[in-house]
Parts: sequence; C-alpha cells; structure tokens
Amino acid sequence: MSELSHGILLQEQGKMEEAEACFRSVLAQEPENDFAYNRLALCLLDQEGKKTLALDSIGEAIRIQPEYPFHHAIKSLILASLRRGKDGLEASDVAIALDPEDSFSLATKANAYCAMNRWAEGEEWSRRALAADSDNSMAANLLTHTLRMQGKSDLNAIAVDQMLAANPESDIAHINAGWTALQRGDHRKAEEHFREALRLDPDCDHAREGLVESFRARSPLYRAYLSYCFFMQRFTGGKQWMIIIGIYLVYRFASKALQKVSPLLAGGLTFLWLALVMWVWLAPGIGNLLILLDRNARLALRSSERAQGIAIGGGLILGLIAIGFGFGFDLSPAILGGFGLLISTIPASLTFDNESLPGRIVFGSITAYIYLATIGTVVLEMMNQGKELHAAVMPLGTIGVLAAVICTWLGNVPALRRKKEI
Amino acid sequence: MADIASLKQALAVSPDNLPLLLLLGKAYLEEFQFQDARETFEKVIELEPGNPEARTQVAQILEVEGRSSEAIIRLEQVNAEHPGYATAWMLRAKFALSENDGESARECYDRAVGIDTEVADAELLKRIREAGGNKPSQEKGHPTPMASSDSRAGAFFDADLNEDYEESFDDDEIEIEFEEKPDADFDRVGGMEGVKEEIRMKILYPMENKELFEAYGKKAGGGVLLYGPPGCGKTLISRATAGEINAKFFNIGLHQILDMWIGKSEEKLHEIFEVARRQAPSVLFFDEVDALAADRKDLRASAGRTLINQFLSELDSEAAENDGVLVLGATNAPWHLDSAFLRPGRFDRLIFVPPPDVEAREEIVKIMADGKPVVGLDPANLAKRVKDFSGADIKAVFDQAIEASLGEAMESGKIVPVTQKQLVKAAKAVKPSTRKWFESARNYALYANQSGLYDEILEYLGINK
Repeated sequence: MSELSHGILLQEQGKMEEAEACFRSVLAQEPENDFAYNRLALCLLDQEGKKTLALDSIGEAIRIQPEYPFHHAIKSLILASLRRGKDGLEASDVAIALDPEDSFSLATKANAYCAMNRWAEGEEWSRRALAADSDNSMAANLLTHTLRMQGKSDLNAIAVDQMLAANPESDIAHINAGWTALQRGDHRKAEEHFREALRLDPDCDHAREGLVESFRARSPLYRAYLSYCFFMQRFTGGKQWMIIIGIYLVYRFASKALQKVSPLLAGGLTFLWLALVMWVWLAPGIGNLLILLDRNARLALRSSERAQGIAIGGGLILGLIAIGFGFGFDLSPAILGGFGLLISTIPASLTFDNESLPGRIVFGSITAYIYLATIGTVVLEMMNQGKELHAAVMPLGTIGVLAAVICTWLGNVPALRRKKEI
Repeated sequence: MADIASLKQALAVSPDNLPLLLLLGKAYLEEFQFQDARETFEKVIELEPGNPEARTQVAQILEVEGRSSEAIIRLEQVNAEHPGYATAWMLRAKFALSENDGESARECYDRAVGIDTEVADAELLKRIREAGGNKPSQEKGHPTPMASSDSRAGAFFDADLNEDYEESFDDDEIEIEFEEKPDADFDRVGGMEGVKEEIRMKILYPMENKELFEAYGKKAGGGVLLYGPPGCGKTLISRATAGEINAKFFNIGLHQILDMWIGKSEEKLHEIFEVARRQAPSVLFFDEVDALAADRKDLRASAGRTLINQFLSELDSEAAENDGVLVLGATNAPWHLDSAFLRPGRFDRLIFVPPPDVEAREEIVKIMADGKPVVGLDPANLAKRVKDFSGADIKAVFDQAIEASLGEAMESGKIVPVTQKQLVKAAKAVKPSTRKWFESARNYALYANQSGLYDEILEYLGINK
C-alpha cells in the first residue's frame, strides 16, 4: 500500500485532515501528480472553510491534465458547494464535452442545477447520468432530491425504493427515504430510516438533522409546518417571495372585507394570521423543547438546538403563563414581562441555531435587547406600584416590538442565515 | 447470479448476446452442469473467437474433467494473447499449485494481482507459500505497484516502476524495533487504574492462570484492541503490559508495513508475525491498527484488501503458532475496523483507554516539569485544571508556558523560570484535543452500538440510554 493508497483509505474513512497530510506528502515528492491534487481537492472540500483551497488544488490538477474530465467534474462540485452554480455548470459542460458518456460528469451538472434550486433541470440531468450508469449513487440521490423538491411524490417514492433496493446499506438512500416519509407525513417511518442512516454512518449530520426533524414531526402542528416548508421548497427564492406577499395580500383583503361584516370575525382572522406567522418562526424551537422532554430523543440535539428549545419554548410558555397570571390578578409587571418574553422568541428563533456569524450577532443583539428591556420594564412597573405606565416603558416596548418585526424580514436575508462558504 | 431458466428465456429473444451467454455459462458451472457450460462457452468462442473469458472458462472445465494438459495449453494461449487478463493468470496459478509448483504459481499469482488487485486471494497465496512460492515474482516489472481500483490511480504508478526491486525478503530487511525487556510496568504508569484492572482481567490473569481460565472457557493470549482518544497512553500501557508479563515488545508502526509494491506489505506483515513467534513470549503492538484492519467497505477505491486478508490470516494462525504471542492493537477509530477483526480469536477483547485521570495527569505534569526551570509547581492543582487533556495536550500546556518564559528570558538575557501561574494560564489557552474525538465517539456509541461495544464511552460521558 503506497502513501497515496493510504491517503485514499484515510479519506474514505472520513479522516480528512490525516488524508490531506498524506496527499500533501505525496505531492511534495511528486509535484506533477494530478491525481493527488484531485484527491487533495476532495479532502479539502469535505473540511470546514477549505473550499477555496479545494478549488486551487483542482485548478492545479487541471493545469497538469486539462483533458481529464474527472478533474473538471470535481471542479464543478466545488463551485456548486461555494454556491457558484453557474460556474459549476460551465465546469460540468467542459467535463461532458471531454467525455459525453461520463455519468459522474453528467451528475455534477445535475448537482450544479440543484445548487441554483433549478429542480426540473436537475432532475433531467440526473436522469441522463443514470441512463449512462444506472449504478451512479450520486445521480440516484440527486434524482430523489429533485423529485422531492418538485413535490413529485409518486415518482420520488419509486426512485427511493429503487435506491434502497440497489443498496440497502447506503446511508444516503435511507436519508432520502426518511425525507420522503416525512413529506408523506409518516414521521415513524422517517425516524426508522434516519436511525438506520445513522447506524450506517453515525457522523452523518444530515441523518441526525433528519432524525431531529422526525422527532419534531411527532406533533401534528409541526407536521403542518413541515408541509408548508415542503411546499415552499418547490420554488426558487423569487417565487417564494411572490407567494408570501400574495398570501399577505389575501389576508389583508379578507380582513378588510370582514371588518365590514363582523369586526369580531376580522379580529379572529388577525389573531389567526399572527399565530401562523409566529408559528412559522417558532415551530423548530418549540419542536426542540418537545424533544428535550424526551430523555432518549434529546440525545440527538446539538447544544445550540437545546438552547433554542429552552429560549423559544421556555419563553413562549413562561410568557403565556405570566400574561394569564397578570390579567388574572391585574398585575401589569407580569403582563408586560410576559409580552416581552413572547416577543423575544422571534429574534431568539434566529439566534441559537443560525449558521451565519453576522446573523447570530444581529439577532443575538436584538434578543439581548428585548430581554434587558423586559427586565427593565418589569422593574420599573414594580417600582411604579400600580400607577400609570412609567414614561420609559412605551419607548422600550415599541423599540422591542419593532425590532422583532424587523427580524421577520431580516430572517429572509441569506447572508444572515447561512454561513459564508469559503 | 440469474437463474438458468430466466437466462434461457432472455437468450431466446437475443440468441447471440455474448454477456447473456457468458452469464448462462457461469450459471451452468455453478450448478455443476459442465457439459452445458462448455457448450455455452464454445458458442461464445464461435461468435467471438478471441473472447478470453470464455476460453478461460473452457480451460477450467477441461481441468475439472481431468484433461489438465489440454487445459494448460489453452490457458497458455489465453495468457499469450491476452496478457492483461488477470483471471487467466490466476487460474494458471491454481493449476501450477495443483502441480505443486509453488514458484510458478507465485509468479502467475503476482502477475494476476499486479493486473487487478480485486482477484487477490489470501487463502490461495498462503497455500502457494506453503508449496514453496515464498518469494514474490522477480521478473522485471513484477510485482507491479499496487494499483487502485481507479485505473487512473494505477496509471500514476506505472510511470515509475521500481527497477531496483530484485531482492526478496529476509528478516534483516524488516526494521522492527523491539525491546528485549520493556522498562515499563504498571507501577511506572501513574493512574489509569481502571484500564490496568481491565488489562489484568482480560490479559494478565488469563496468561498467568491459563489452565484455570480455560476451565471456565476463557482463553489466554490472542488479540486485544485498545481504543480511545489519541495521545492518551495506549502505547505506554501496552509497553507496560509487555513489561508485566516479561515479554518482548514489538512496536509496529504503519510505516514499517506499508509498501507500494504488490504483495510486499503482506510479506512484511507475515515476517513480523514470524519474528514475534520466534521471539515468544512477545507482545506485538500495532499502532493505528484501523489502517491495517480497515473495513473492506472503505476500500472501494484503494488497494489493501489483500493486506487485510493477510492480517486476518496471521491472527487466525493455529493456536500453537501464535502461542505466547499477544497481539495488541491500538486505534482511535475502532468503528473503522472490519467487523471480521472483532470476531472470536482475533481482536475479541476491547479495552477503552480514556483520557488520563487526575492521578495520571499529575504524573504526566511531574514528568513534563522534570529537568525544566519550573518554580512553585503544584502538580495536583495543575492536574485538576487540565481535565480531559491528553498527554499531548499537557505537553502543549508546558510548551506554551515555556515559550512565554523564553520570550522574557530573551529580553532580559537571563533564565526566567516557568511559574505555576504561567502554566495555569497556558492550561486555559489550550483546548483539550479529546473533545473532538468524543463528539464523534458519542455518535458511534449512540447510533451504531447495537452490540454494546461502545458502552464504556457512554458510561464515560455519563449518558444513560
């Protein structure tokens, strides 16, 4: 077994840092070994914050061996992971031009389309890749993914069954089967598949995330939220916005129309609308709180998800209790404190499990402000002892409410939600 | 393999389909219908006269029918016309072995494996060796460098075949460092009482009271796997184990075995076992054993399956052969081991080596401070502050504190001693490397622990499932 072979073994065992060292050592002795550069690129691609280095490495491989389609296909994968789908498509096209029948290159083109949320084209190219090689697991995975994203449930179910039949020991196949089951609303089956995927690859975070999602989906309300998410995933960013604005306009129109007929009904509709909006933001956090109550399921949560569950679920429950208590015993500090906790749940839902550092800073600061403003309000009101509201309460509260509303819009800014790929 | 009826059905539609005919021929062979198989392969040869696969299969059938000479002639023709067809070389190796011609068998075997590593067969290689085929082929260009199943990977090696490869193995070529009498024993290893007790129960007592343990169905010797985070004393405790039983200690690193030439890594491994057997009682310690005993599922694109088979074969050697040889493997990723290694008779006993406990850390702190200008050292206090630190992490703490002192010494031009305060400050700055390991280990213990192999990890982490 040579050093290169040892590197490949380490890579396939998931020991990327050690494999990287191995490939670098090979390259120190053979600086023109394009295969080692290719393998090094794949190693770097799998490590946090090294994607740009991976691109450099594959660039070297292409410089040495520009006619080898595999290098261009890997370049496409790297570019897609850097969210440069268009550049990824170009690299795939070069690979395909060099070998039009190469299934892997065709699959990377499907992958590049997926990176741009262009599911229909992704489906088409994954089918082409599978036509070239029916055993291409990457293409099979992309096919089920694109079908799921387009809501083609029946076709997806067939594709997943085929994938599982071809390789029942594939964690990817089980992850796909899990998401398909979740889309169908079968959270028990989903849990089985995600558990199996984790048995096959315990370090697979996609499988863990799926398992957590299936635990959350034990709640019918959360399943409704998931259905909404699956529905929205079918569309690209622009269309998603159009749908959100469309639903808002329908609500406004219905609310105005109901005002003329029955103000009570209009009030009910507004309450329902606010509850829905809140639910969209708070569902994962509340789901995490429910998981925390299960001693086995809670082991699947990351510490950030636990914190999110406590901040959101705890904030919501304590807030509602405080409001009820406040109204029951006519205690304004409790009412204001309760509202403060309720409002805090919106920015908190964007803080703890946020991949983006700037996002965590922005939403974390807003959450901290609301907590402090709430404490300040409660203290001022307690000192006020039943007199009129303290002069500072209104501005403190207004800023908090406005900040929470702004969060619902900022929460849709990708740079504040997703980590920057480098 | 598809069944004969369905293959016949398919051939009715497409009677000249070569792949189908080959499948049918093999299906007949599996059912021992040699006449039908031969007719089917002859039809393939009729349609495509040069087809090496069909011709090799016919040769095999002829051999089964006792027409060995004709079989060998046919096979030689295939070898001559299709020198890159590995299966034919492998079959020829088997023919040569049946003639008890170990050398020729070895030459053909090496040639086959040189073309395609997938055809390697450790059992056959063992039989060839027993028949005298101990030396790898010395024909120029053979053995070929190990080719990955990715043909591209193979191509990279082909460019620089080692022309100097002419000598076969002898013991002197294997640079194994071994200690006649390890200077370590359990008394010299601070702390780790739990691990020591486990080793006593699983290794030492069975060796000291062989007959008593055998009466209870427990065996002595064999293989024991030590696993745990890196830098936590697996090598030290292994050396101490050898010291406890007064055995020679062979510390085998991966670099001492791995070789880019086909068959040579396997040879080295075999020789290492042979040396250990000759020097018994001995302890063979394999560090990073997960590379030598990797899960074959992880070897899709890399060569090394034959090495794994060789390792299994050495562990499985007759009890008498390995009598007095204790095989210790150390790994920080036991989950990457092929499950075949965890079966009885191989690494059937697992010992978890956790990060050093407080006594062990105190001991390490004292060792680290020894010979250095450290003043006011409070080992017990520092040991408490470096919870979950591995030995390597504690060394990093000392390195950092010493660097700080060195900086001051450079400025002042005189020796500035390292203080406890500096060490405490460094301990805060250094993050324990074991955390990352436990993150991964926790996942394996939670989700891939059906047989309870990793219960000790859960126990260590205080998780009750």
